[in-house]
Amino acid sequence: MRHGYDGVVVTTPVTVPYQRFSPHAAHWWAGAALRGLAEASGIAHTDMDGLSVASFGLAPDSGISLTQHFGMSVRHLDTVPLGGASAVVSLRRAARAVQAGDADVVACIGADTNTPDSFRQALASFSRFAQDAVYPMGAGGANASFALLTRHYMRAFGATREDFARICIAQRDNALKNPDALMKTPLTLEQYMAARPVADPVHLFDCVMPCAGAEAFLVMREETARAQGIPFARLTAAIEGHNQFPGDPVQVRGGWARDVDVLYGMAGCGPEGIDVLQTYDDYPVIVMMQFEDLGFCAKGEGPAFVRSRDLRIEGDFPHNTSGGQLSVGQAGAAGGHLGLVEALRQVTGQAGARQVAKARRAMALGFGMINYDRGLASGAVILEAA
Amino acid sequence: MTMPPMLPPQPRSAATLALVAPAAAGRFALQCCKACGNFIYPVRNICPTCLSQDIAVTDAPAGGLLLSETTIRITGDPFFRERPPVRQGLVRADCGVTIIAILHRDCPPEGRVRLSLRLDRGGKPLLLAFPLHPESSEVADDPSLRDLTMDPAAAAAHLADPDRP
Ligand SMILES: [Zn+2]
Repeated sequence: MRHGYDGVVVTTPVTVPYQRFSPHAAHWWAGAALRGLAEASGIAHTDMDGLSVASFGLAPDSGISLTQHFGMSVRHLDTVPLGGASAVVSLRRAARAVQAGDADVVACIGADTNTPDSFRQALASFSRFAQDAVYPMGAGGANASFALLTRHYMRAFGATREDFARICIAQRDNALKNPDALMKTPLTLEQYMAARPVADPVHLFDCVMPCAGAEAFLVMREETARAQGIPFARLTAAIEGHNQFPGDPVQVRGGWARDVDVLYGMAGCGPEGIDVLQTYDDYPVIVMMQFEDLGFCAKGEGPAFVRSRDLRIEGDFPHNTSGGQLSVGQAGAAGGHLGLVEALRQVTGQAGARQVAKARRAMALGFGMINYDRGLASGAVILEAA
Repeated sequence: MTMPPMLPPQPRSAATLALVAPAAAGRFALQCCKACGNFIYPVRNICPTCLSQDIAVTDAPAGGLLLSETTIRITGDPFFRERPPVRQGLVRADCGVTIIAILHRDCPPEGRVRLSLRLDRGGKPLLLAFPLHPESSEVADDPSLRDLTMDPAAAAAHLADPDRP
């Protein structure tokens, strides 16, 4: 039996509004997020004694450089190079640090910039396996890797492009209520189906738009949040898993499937107890796998699930209420924080026009790091209203 | 003034260059662990099954099962951007490893294929997959493959003197 996260809370959802391209460094975006945390919490950055940062764009710097860059003196320091899974992992580590008293207030930040050429550079130098055995075979990047998984999933479980469209269209509808979303117009099924192919069967609206931005939150003990007088959510459950199920010939599940029972056991609920879900949506096929792996439906039933549920904010299965990365944009490693920050907004009643009624329990998921033929990193957290 | 020819993506790990010699000779060979006998791909510095580092490049059975495929229509890479879309597949090789390969245009969308190790235009290893029918399928009958690979004579010269352009 795992130890719970008793006494650990998450506060202060911060989004630095995204821009398609930015002349600023990732440090600028991370710094803006830190300022946002200080302003919203009333805790000076010099009084925060923990920093956890995730970014693809800090080189040659890492978290340690940022302490000096930002003028922070910390007891807990983490650089989490896990892309889409980084927010969950940052939170897990920070939670144990504050629970044990190793630190009192940890700032968790995901931030990246986007220059016209930075995306290609990141692709070419992503991992050794990618450099040796993926990139030279056509340089398709993540689009091609997910295209292989998507085609296989469609064949194995009968999913169609129309099924994936349901996810993308509902998220676009949600994004129209989010002023920070880069996508500002509705998406129709006709537009989705007619979009140009990128790497068959992945088409334009299955892909996220790379952009610059930052997302952040604070981790502390409940008494600290109460003393500060800021809204907080309890962390009730969290799992992470890396390179799980290596024997699956093609990835049809993420690491969540291995520890999903631990997750619900810690939270004291099942899938039906989740009021709002934030999946990691770099591609819609991965969203469908998360519906299955987290027990909202059985493996292979993702297509039927999206046909029978309404994934919009006001629907019977509120999902990616910010619009998700597919409609807000993917700001590098901040993309892994988008869902967690939105989950925090929802259960603390700070989601504004996107607020899901009676959202007491939210799940946020992370996924990422296509090293070769599959995404290696997965994570999940459950946040509960105080 | 003539521009030097654009090369395919160049940076590779030092270890992966062990595949250059068999590729130049037209042999399908991969790393194989001498301790446990398992084939290894992508190229590693250690066997993931038994952690032995006694690894040798060894001829492997070339059969495989094509599990999924895509056609890469948009790429940011300057070399591939100027070329026709690449058909890429995920192949479960009979020797036990998973290989991301460039597919010959006649490969069926799923089913059996024949794997091949070649050199690309920059003299680096490239993995290709061919259809079983016709058995004679070769690089020569797919213009896009021809444009991506080094021809056998150039490959032999490259093996003799890798620094020669
Ligand atoms: Zn071995």
